[in-house]
Amino acid sequence: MKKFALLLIGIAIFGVLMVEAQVKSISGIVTSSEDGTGIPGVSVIVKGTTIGTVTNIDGYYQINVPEDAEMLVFSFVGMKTQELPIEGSVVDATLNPDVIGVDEVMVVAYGTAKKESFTGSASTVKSENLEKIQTSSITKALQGMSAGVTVTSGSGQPGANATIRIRGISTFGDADPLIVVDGFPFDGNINSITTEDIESMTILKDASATALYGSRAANGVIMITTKKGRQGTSNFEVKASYGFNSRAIEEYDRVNVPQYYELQWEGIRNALMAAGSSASEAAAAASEQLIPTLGGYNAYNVPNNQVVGTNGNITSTGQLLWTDDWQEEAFVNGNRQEVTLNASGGTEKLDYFLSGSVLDDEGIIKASEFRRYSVRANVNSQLKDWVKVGLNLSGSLSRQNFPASSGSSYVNSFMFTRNIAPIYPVYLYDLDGVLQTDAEGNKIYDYGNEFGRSRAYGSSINPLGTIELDTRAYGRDIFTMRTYADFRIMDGLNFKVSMSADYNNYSGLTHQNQKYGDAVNFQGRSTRSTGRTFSYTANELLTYDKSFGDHHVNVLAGHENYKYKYNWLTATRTGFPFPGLVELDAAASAEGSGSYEHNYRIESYLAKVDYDYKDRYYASFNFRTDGNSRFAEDVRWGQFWGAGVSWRISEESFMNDVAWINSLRLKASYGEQGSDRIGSYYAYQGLYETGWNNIDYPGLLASRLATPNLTWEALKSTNIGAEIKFLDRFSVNFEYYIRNNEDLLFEKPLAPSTGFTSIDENIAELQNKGFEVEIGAFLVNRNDFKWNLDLNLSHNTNEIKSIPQDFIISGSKRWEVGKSIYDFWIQDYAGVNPQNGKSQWYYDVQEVDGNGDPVFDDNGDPVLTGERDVTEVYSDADRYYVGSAIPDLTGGVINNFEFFNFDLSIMMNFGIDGKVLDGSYQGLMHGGTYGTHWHADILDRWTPENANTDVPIIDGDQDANSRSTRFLVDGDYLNFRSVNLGYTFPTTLIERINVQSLRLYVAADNVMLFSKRKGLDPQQSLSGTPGNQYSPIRTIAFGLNVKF
Amino acid sequence: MKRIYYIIAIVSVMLSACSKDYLETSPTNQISDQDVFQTADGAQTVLDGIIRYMREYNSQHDDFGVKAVDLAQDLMGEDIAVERFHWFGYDYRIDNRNATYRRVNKTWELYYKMIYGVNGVINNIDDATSDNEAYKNNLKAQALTLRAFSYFRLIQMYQFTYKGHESAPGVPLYLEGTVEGKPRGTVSDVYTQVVADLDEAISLFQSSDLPQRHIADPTLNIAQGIRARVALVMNDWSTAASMAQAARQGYDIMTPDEYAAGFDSYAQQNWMWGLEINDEQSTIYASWFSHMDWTIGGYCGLGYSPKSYSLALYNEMDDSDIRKQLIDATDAASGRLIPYKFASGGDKEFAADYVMMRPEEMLLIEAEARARDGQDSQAQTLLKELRDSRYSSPATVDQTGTDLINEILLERRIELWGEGFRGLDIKRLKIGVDRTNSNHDPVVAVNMTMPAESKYFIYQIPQDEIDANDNIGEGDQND
Repeated sequence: MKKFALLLIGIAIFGVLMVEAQVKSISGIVTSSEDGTGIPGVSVIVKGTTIGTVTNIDGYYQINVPEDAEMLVFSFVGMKTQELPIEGSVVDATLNPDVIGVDEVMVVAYGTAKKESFTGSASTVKSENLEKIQTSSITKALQGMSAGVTVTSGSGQPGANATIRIRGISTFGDADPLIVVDGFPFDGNINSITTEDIESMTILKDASATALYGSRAANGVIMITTKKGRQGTSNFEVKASYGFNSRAIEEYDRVNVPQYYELQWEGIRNALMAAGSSASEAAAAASEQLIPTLGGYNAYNVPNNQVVGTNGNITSTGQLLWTDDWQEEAFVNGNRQEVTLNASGGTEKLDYFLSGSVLDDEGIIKASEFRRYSVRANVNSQLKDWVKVGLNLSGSLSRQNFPASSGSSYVNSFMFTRNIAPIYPVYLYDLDGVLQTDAEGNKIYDYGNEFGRSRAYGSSINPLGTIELDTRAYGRDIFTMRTYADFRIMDGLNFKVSMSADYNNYSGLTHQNQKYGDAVNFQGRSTRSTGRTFSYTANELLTYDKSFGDHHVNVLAGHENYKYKYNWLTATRTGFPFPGLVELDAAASAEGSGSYEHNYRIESYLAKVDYDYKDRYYASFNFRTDGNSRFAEDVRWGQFWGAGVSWRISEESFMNDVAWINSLRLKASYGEQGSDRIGSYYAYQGLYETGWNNIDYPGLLASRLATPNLTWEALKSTNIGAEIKFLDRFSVNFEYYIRNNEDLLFEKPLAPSTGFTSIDENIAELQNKGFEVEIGAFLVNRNDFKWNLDLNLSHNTNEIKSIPQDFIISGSKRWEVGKSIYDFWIQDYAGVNPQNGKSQWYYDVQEVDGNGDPVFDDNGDPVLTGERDVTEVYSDADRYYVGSAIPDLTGGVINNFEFFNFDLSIMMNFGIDGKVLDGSYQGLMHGGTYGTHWHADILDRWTPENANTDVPIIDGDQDANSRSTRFLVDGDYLNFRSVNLGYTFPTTLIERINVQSLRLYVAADNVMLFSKRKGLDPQQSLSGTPGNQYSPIRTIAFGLNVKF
Repeated sequence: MKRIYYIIAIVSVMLSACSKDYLETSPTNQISDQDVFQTADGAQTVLDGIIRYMREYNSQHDDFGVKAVDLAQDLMGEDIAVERFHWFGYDYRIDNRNATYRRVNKTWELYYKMIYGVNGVINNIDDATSDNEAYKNNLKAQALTLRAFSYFRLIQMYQFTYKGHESAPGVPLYLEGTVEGKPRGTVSDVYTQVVADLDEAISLFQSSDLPQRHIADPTLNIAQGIRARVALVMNDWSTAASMAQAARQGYDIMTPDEYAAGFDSYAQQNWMWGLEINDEQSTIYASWFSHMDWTIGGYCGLGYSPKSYSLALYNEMDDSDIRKQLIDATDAASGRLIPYKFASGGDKEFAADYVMMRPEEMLLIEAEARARDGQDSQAQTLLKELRDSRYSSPATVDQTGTDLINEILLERRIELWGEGFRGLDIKRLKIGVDRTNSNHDPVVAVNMTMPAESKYFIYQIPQDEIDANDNIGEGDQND
């Protein structure tokens, strides 16, 4: 840090010595072609220099320019840039709206670029669209927004982040893109950033665009830029919304109480018959055993053995004693409230953006909530002619309550309420069906173990009860800083020092109550954990920007270092005497504690050269070398680069006559990047892990074999693209890419008998190929009616090019050269044997020799005849490739309408032709698991009368409903992501009350999802294996935006 | 003038480069493999890590180390009746042996991970720094004992018993750390190594003569006890008898009160070898007591997977037997016989210790070996000694020959019920399983009978092993 200070002082002293050149004064007014009024905040720059100013509130500007200055460039967001020669001392300009973004400027690595001149591949998501989505994590707003970006919704828990993949699955390991906020890699949690603070999100997709992020770039980069004040304006804005949350994905269709009893009766009878009983014995025994088997739960007011008679029919006289509905009790309609205030503005020398926001998002199950308070201040000042400084500070305090909502734990309410049989009540009833209450008259939850009962599903557990008594929450405090000083050393040459710091403090508390559930035996248990992340990045960059006649170059060279430190501390105690007192101090016995620290550092040098000739031919070269602490000294430094060219055909003289084309260009790029996300900060070292203590004796266990040659994963990517804008209202962008991911880190399987199941090596290769189309169309552009359509389409194929074994099985997938990382490899269902109702699967017939013994080849592999036959023994079934989870085509459609003062936005996204293994449905199609609910499709099970069906007999056979193609469905979906309808009051009405603009709106998120099966959410999981997880939330909200 | 700015800026970029050790980082909760074996204390730390690993929860709630393996083996017999299909459900169905199944893979990994660890100790201890030669010898003997224990378990689960299968494929043997997979070899190769390790361990224990530091540490008696188990499987009756007898020197047979103390504390009961567990290191739901104990709120106690005593075995028991009195048969009509042998409720709860070896087993090995060796009177005396400390009135043991052997085997089922012996005994004795005429629920058990030496009693070699081991192919797989 000392070096920095010296540096700053040194530069400052020399800067002061700058000699001012001869100048002249120019002034003028900039107006809009639409209504002729002055436009405030227009940037006015002397072409080829950084000398510039902005217009004031009336559109007036005044600027001192060098004597030899020839051209002024006027630019403003949403307007076409205009260049005018300096003739005399007054230069007025009239700007035309730019509906198709010909002059759009976007944020790219280490700077900004005009979209037309950019040789790489990047998509920008507009804040106008982002702001229409109501979400607690901006990651979820990206669904369907941009070509080449796959967003899986994951958990619907408020505050949960989505999983994002850019241009396919680039690795077997961590494929998350690098998140860059205001120019620096971000170590906070992205859910701390308020949507309203975001000016734009740019997704960098190819080598040319990402090369400057070197060893962290291979998974793509998402650049988030926060808002700043606009010069010449002064605004105060209030945005508020209030909404209601509900479950967006409906429950599967399931059977009712009488059906459930009858089916279980049938299962018991069939099992007894399979074990040798006669039909009548079995039927009688089933009637007797039914209620005891289900744990003593008789929901009818008839004797246990009469609930289902020996004829298999439900009692005709009995009345239901209870009708509790688990889902009605568990799910709530939480509220969502968000209020944002911001003040922004700027003068020629200073701009500022200040904001504060409060969000409270209550989720759809009890106790689920995300609350966030955040503030931001972004101030930039042109301190002197030769130095500009800026500081962007943000703070965010958030708290998330996240009751268990994924996985197979019984306290996961989504799983529990889906899978518990309908015969079990939520609340406690005695054997006569009388609802039990406590001393205060409140209902008591049924934990499945009172009155001599023993519930067959989730015994001793009631997630509705424990959710209220347990705590699963964390608080997260994130503070970020971005600051810089940019010195103009001479015309075109700048030296910029910048620094970022992210502080991320996590404090989690889980408490399991002492009355019910997991921790009863311990009189309650609490775990307190804190994680503290502090990271900073500092860089020093030299830039040189100069035009020489028709040639223009922009050069950047710099040094950067990154330092990351993480500290973790956790402690657990048990023995809590007082309900509600859940902090560790309240408890008696220490159960465990621990702490550790991680350090991670990168040092880099980087350079970039952009060149263009006549604004027509562009070439760009980027280079970065990283030294990375994750790797051994000998292989620590790596070189990464990217190069791109583009050609604006429309600027050629031969295109002058083709007036209907606004812009036409071609581009191509190639480069090599890396990814250092190899799962460990100390990957090269052979290690023994501490903490394997035997009572009071410290113990170590071998945890890692030394891998001194381990290095980053490499990406070699090629991108070509063409873009056309025509008729002033249409734009089409097409890109094709090939991404070769090499040196992928792979846990190369070892024979487990060596003591390790795998060793990490950079040996695997993947390829992602695909195309992307982005279409923008102003279908209608009249004053009283506008219709803007944005459509994006992406197609990606993923192929394994190399793995260290012939094939590797990974759950329901098998990896093999030529297949994709998400190709299902499972048992192929051959339907039900109509004779006996048993499930059948295919298997490959093995050749046998003369003695009837199976034949093996020299490698010891079975020799197959090529025939397939069916078997009723699941473990004898073979597995086959039966399709990929990766959709052939994904896309998004965004419609924006304006009709008089109304505006309407409808956003949709879809996926076509991917497979989904519906595990939740499979769980509801069991062969008679006591106490587990059934999908209504079970009504079509095999019986002697219903022999032609795909659903096997219910006889307790667990294998009958094991994973197979029977549960594989087409994952096609169409999701109405958001609908937003607004009304903006006419200016004439609101001027009187000093309001600039006022918009009221109603918005709905996750409006509707169409998929192959009610209850199935194909978007939940990238790998096509959705589970019993927190459903996405449907939010319907009312809001207003007021700008003063 | 301009040039100066260039130079200043470029030089300052250079100056800001970081020092060389900026990129050197190391973990705070791990230690490099080179440093571990520098000292004998370091080797002791590795042994303690292995002992912890033997009782640690790994992937799922039915995977908690060596006692999970014991339970899976035991459930393949007829002495435990499971009421509901839950964890260990496929083991109870005697249908959890395929090459890709988790049980098969996790069991394999468990013992081979232990073997990797003890090989480090065995091969490095001689060069480790310590001024106490006896300490080093003792550590080496402990490591050898654990290696023999691991291979002996592996060979019994991945192949049929020794007798009659001596030349059948064994399990790969590793005497030092390597990343190259070894071939299966033969059953007798494995037994030869197990015997050699135990003999060396016994001699090193005898020469070092240090007291047992902790109940989990292997000792001379434990090495002798494992040697006796091995000899029993190899039908080497005289070694089995002499080693079993030597092993239990210094350990008394439990009194009825001790037997009724819940099998949850090595301090209350007279164990030779046990795994101590405390609150912090308890694996709670993924633990032996969670699955077996009716008195605490685990999988058994909460009703997910209640484990009843076999009605058939119960009916064979003497009414005055303390072990029968520990079984609540009031609900026997519904098939529920609640055994309170493993009872940690109100006491150790989930911090209950695991029993690994006790003198009663040694007595039974000696009795069986002597009976099979024709020494009926010594065998009768031994059996009577045990029964006298279980029955409220003195027992009469007058059977001879096969009847006597059967009495001893019955006693073994009763005395060692639930401790992980029955499944292995079924293989050793080459008998089948018959669960009929008892309290087994066919819906849950599915396989009510299983013939002797059925392939379902032994695991296949894990598919991952076959795929990654160049020396083991599909043709080497168990049927």
